[in-house]
Amino acid sequence: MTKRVIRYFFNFTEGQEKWLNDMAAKGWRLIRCGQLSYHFERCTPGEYEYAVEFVADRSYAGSKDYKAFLESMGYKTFYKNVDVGFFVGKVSWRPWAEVAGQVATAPGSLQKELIIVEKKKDGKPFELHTDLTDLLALHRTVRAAYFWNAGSMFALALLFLIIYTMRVNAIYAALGAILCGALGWLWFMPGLKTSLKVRRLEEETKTNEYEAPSMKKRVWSRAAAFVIPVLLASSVLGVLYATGVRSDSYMTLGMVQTSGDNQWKASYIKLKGYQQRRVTLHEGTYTFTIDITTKSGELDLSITGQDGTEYYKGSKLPTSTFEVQADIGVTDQITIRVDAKGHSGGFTVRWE
Amino acid sequence: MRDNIAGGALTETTFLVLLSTYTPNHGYGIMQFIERATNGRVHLGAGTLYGAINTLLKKKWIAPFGRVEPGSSKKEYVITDLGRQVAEKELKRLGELYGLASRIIGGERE
Repeated sequence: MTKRVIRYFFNFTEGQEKWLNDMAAKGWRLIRCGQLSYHFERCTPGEYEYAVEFVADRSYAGSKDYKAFLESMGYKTFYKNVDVGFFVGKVSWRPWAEVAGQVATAPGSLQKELIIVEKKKDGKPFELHTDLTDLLALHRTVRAAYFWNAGSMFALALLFLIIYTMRVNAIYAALGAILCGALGWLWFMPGLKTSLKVRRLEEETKTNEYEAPSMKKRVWSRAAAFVIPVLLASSVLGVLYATGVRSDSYMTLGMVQTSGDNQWKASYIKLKGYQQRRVTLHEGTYTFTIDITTKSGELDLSITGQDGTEYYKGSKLPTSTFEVQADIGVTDQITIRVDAKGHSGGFTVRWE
Repeated sequence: MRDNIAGGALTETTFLVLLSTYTPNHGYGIMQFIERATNGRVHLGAGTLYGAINTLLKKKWIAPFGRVEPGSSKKEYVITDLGRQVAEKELKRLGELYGLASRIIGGERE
C-alpha cells in the first residue's frame, strides 16, 4: 500500500523533519519525493526515523560525496528541494554558500538543497551533528538561507508596493505584495527560530569546547545574509527613482501614442504620472480641439505659455470633446501637459 | 579544525578521530571505534564525522589509505606523521592538565 501526499515546507528543516517522523510513527515510510510531493509505503509504525540535512551551502560534488558517505554509514538518503523549479527557473544564487556552491543550476545542485536521511530505529538517538563547532556552523548557514529567502521575498513585496502606489495594475500589484510578504514571513519565522538556537549555542561556546571559524568566513556569511538583500532592494529603488526624475514621469500599460506638428494623441489601458509636449506657435489665434475618453481614474490637462500664461486648465476631465481658443501675441513655446492618476482611456489634442 | 593557538588544545572530536586512525579505518569503523572506546560516552553524528574527516584530510593529519575503488564510498583513512606529532603533543598537554587537576581536586578531598 502506498500513498502520495502533496506538501511544501517553508520550515524546511525542523518542520519537515518533524512531519516525516510523525508519518513514520504512523507507519508510513518515505520511498520517493518530488518537488511538492512525498510518496510513502506502509511500514511498521516507528520502524524508521528521519533527519533533514541542509546541504545547499556545499558544491554539487561536495553534496554528492557527503550523500555517498551517509549511505556508507548505513543510512538511506533522498535529495529534496527547497527551490521550486517551475517558479524560480534554472539558476539560483546562494550568496551564503561556499565559493563552489554559490551558483546552483538545474541539472545540478539546484532543487537538491536538502538530503533527507532515513535510519532504522535502534534505540540510539539519531543525531547527525554532535559537536558544538559543527552545530553552530550548520545553524548559522541555515539561518542565513532562511533570512535570504525571506529577505528576497520582502524585497519583492516592496517592489510590488511601489508599483501599487503608481496605480498601474493596482489589483495585481497589491496581490503580489501580499503574496510575497506572506511568503517572506513563512521563511522569516523559522529563520528567527534558528536564530534563537544560534544564540543558545553561542552562549555555550563561552564555556564548552569550540573552535571559532575564521573571521573571513563569518564576515562573508553575514554580509551575504543581511547586506546583499538591502543592496539589491536599494538598487531597485534607485533605478525607480532615477526613472522618476525625467521631465516625463509616467507608467503605462498598453499605450498607443502618436504626436505630430498639430496633434498629440494617446490611448492606453492605464496611465499614471505626467507627460508633456512643447510646441512652438507663431502669432495668431489658435483653436485647440480636445477629445477626452475617461473609463476610470482621473486626467488633468493644461495648456500653458512660456511666461506662465494659462490658456487652459481642466482637472478630472470626463469623456468629452471641447474647443479652447488661444490668442498668441508673440511667437510662444507652449506646453501641453497631462497628469493622470490611474487613468484608463485616452486623449487627443489638435491645434490649428 | 585549527589548533587552538593559545593552548594548543584539540577538540575531543579531532583527537578521537586521530586516535581511531592509528590503524586504517573507514567512516563507519571510526564511528564505532569512538563509541566503543569511550563506552558510549561520545557518539559522533555522521555529519560531524564527515566534517572532521575532511578537515583532517585538508590539514594532512590523516590521509586516504589504500586503493580507492571508483564508485566505492568505503574509503579508508590513516593517520600521517604530522597527525602523530599533533596527537603526541595533545597527549602531553592532557597529561599535564590531568596532573594539575588531580593535585587540586584530589587535594581538596583529602
